[in-house]
Amino acid sequence: MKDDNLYVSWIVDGFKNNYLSTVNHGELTYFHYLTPFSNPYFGPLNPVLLFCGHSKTTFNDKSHIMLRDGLIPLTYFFKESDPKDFECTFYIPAEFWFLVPKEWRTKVKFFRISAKTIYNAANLPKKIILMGTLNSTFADGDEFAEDIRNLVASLGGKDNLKNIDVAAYFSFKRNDLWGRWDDENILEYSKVLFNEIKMDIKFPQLDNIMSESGFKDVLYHEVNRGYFISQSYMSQHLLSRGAGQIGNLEVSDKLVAEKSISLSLHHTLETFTYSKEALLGSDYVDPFKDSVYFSYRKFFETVMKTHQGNQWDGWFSSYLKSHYKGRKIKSF
Amino acid sequence: MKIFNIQSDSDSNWLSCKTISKNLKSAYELLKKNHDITTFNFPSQITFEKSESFEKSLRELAEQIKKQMPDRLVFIEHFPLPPSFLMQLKNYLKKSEMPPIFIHVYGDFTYFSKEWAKFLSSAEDLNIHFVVASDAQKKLLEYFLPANAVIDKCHFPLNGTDYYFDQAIRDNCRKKYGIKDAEKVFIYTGRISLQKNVDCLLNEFITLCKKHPEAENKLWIVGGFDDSGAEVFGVKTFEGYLYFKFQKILERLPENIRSRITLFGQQDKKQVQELLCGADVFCSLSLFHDDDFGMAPAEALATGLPSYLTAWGGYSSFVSPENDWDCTLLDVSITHLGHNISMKKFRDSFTQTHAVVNRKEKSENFMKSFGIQKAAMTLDMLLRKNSGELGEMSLKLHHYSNLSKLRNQSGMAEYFLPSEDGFYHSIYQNYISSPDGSEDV
Repeated sequence: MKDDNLYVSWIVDGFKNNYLSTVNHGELTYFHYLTPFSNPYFGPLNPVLLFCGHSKTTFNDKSHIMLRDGLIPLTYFFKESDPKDFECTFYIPAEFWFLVPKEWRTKVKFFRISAKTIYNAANLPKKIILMGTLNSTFADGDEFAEDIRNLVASLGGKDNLKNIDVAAYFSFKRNDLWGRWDDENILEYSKVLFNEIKMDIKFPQLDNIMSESGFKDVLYHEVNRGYFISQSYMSQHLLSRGAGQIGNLEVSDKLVAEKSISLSLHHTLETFTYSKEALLGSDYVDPFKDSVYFSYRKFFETVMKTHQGNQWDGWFSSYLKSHYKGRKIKSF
Repeated sequence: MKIFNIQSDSDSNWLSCKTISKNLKSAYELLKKNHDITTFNFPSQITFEKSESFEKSLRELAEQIKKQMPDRLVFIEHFPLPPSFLMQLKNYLKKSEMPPIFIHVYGDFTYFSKEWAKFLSSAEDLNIHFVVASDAQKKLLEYFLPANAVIDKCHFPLNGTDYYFDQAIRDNCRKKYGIKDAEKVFIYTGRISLQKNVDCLLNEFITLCKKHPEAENKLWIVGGFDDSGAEVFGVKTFEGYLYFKFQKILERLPENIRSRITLFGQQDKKQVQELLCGADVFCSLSLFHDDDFGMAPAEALATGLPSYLTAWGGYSSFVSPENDWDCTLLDVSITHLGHNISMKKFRDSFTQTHAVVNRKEKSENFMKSFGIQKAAMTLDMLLRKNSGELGEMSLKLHHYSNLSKLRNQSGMAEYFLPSEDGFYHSIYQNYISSPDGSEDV
């Protein structure tokens, strides 16, 4: 210690966070539509969302980038970008191991977020917080019902939930970004919640959930099939403050565990690489070579000649969703 | 005296404000012996957009004011935000019908500078009595408000049943965490946010451990991570940043030092009380811009814990003039390099032998000055005091509010960067006290 003074300056901390403030205004609609799930957060592997304006330049400033995105943005990214343009390693959600074309594989690794607290019939939470979107962006009616049933079954059935507080928040922003996916499912979802869980469910404002200082004894469950976002800000927010989950994602045997990094006192990030066989294997099924894709594309191009507005995202989303329908992406 | 209390219908979002509100309400309960107090609950909001139920409640309040003519209209909590609320209430009452207003001002006064500036510019003929929790906050308000403004101090009270010293709790706690008698435990409790400088405390502790390997001291950090950044300087940090920063520091340490540091995370009141009893020295290097009081240091002092605090904001009010408890202030100055904290006294304490001396007595002494009973006595006196008309506002608060807006929109923060002079300095020098806390610099 050179002298008895301690100089405090927070500017450096601001600089280290700068890359997350870089938002392309052209992409803001996507960001706002999916907020709070799309809100940025900091992490050791530099988490970002592709559709929130992070450019190639930003990526190459870092040795690794963690893509929080879901199925649709990732599929786009691997199709539209050339791996030769990137020097960094991309970490993508482990459930999307099959999305990576062969030419990308040396540049892609995988991650999984694991909560330290896992709730089940033998270890029930005191409170459950359910979150998602009120339209089909995260899950449609069938998927929602299936998800809620799985949740209840994991906790040992409806009777076990009688004495547990349940709070639900479903973002209700309407938007036609993704074509037909702007339909609201309020009645359908409500019916499922009341039938499958119980009548006594609270629907607090988001601010009230966010302002809670801790989530000890709380089970966080996001009804999200990972079409647009896999790793949400809300998940990071609640898990880092002590919330638990009903399970951690099962990772494919095509992947090999690499390392584990602590993200908070309550949850960790595990990384994986392709196994040697998978690296060279041909698991990737190119959705763009599908005849259905071509018919969609052709139809879209015809529509575009006479129609105003760009609804391609909506078509593409619906197509990918049906293309991968049979594949159970998230399993605990 | 007939008093109308305006309260929030729900708890504050801020953990410390939850406790402050609860304890202040208890102090007002004690005043019911001498005063006729009626409570009105309103939504805990910052602004009041056209809401039918709010308008209805406000009309009812105005009617009650006209009918009962209370002597004081009191705002206990920071929400509903007094300036926004009063702007609306003024629509329903003539100037002559508006009772004298008594407002407990919180640390967010500058944060809500826009709302305060708007209201106060049109409130020059109102009788407003501002009550702040510390001398530093009083100076800060004096800087912004007209010279006529009546500003008095009443501490935010602590509840003696929540925080106290108990030898048995201390013994159990030390046993639970394997602390030997000769080992000294330094503790920090509260939010772990950038402006609280807990990372600086961690680095300081590590450096001292390396310098004095013979001193087997421990560091307990108790609180949740909060990445709210340093908004006043336009420094934005994102969720997860500070934890990552702590991890980076910790993972580079040799095991013999790493094992001395424990991050407890967010704990409930009972657990914090237990850890405070078990510890030996409290330290906070906070330079948080809204630290008008400091509930966490106050809670530590309420357990008789010797404390080292920055001479910043409300912390300076914790120094005991009669040495009835141990609170040492660390000098702070604002320089062009940033803030400067003089660490000598803290560093000296690292190798001093410690003993649990009169902690129970110190705890009780502190509570005599900062308990609910004392707050009730102060409030009783202040409520009887008359305040005159506020008078014309200077442009300082408007200027602050406009610059804050500019900073939020464009990220421009140069007006707020620390320097030995300039706007930032002229405001926040009011938050700096001399080491003994008795005389301001």
